[in-house]
Amino acid sequence: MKRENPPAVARWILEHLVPGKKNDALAGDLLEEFRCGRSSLWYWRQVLSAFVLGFMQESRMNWSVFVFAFFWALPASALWIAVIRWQSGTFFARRWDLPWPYSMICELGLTFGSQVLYVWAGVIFGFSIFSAAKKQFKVRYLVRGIGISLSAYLITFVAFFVWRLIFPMPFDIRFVTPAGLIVSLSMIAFRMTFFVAVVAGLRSACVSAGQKKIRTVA
Amino acid sequence: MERGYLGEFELMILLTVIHLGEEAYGVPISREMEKQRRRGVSAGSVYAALERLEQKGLVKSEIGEPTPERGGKAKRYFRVTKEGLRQLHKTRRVLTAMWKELPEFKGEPA
Repeated sequence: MKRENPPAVARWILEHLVPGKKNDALAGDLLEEFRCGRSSLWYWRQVLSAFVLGFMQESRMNWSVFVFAFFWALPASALWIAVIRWQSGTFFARRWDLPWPYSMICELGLTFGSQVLYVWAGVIFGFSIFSAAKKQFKVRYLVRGIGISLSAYLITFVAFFVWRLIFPMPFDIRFVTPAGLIVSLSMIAFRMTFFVAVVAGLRSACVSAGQKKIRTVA
Repeated sequence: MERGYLGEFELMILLTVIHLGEEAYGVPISREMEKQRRRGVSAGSVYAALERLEQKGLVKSEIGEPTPERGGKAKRYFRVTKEGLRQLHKTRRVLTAMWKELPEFKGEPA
């Protein structure tokens, strides 16, 4: 039997992650086509194509956001290692001695929490710079950007976790050399998570700030 | 302001939007493009081209009413502006002049 709705994950990616201002019309078009008999594979292809095209278009239009996110993501791996080295002398080093779920809460707080804080710091700092240049700082746009960056980071965090399961790090993170820090694929993938999250958050905040109103047909 | 000539994809989209008239929104535009080109068209690339054309002032868009069969999403209707029509005529003049130089094709038809 033909499904009424397209794959939920693809639909969510289309509505939340594809860069561009007017995704609603595209989402409606793809849904209309799907309900007219197009396959799930066709829907996925359209979503991926829209993502790539939207990303390219956005990087041309908002190149300053991409440049900022690139430089913000660069030291992320070094900061992560600094956190790991710092925690060895603290309460966090003994977190796995704690009963579940406290051990997991501590682990998530240390890794995920510290990384999210770094992403948010990037979004706040970046948005402050861009909005100061345009003289239109609004807290609700910033809050929206922070929310979007968290969603994007959750997805990329899971993707990176899966990546690490498939391709384990070939070295002990605590003793990595500066060269390993720069060229290691794992570290590049790790930085990508920050890059994507900061771009998503900043773009959302900046686009909201500069969005044009589209005329509605009566 | 003088603009560059239209690319093949943009030209086809403008002509399709004119051909569809009042019904020119994403789905029929993509279907008509697929019919004419005889190969698949990504809806994302159609929208990307339409947005470029809108930025150049060659098309205008309007949002219609949301409909349940589209999951509550509204259609975005496009129409060609006067400037878009002027660009099309200009491109046709240039291309027609250039087509005259095309030598006869002697091989088997495809």
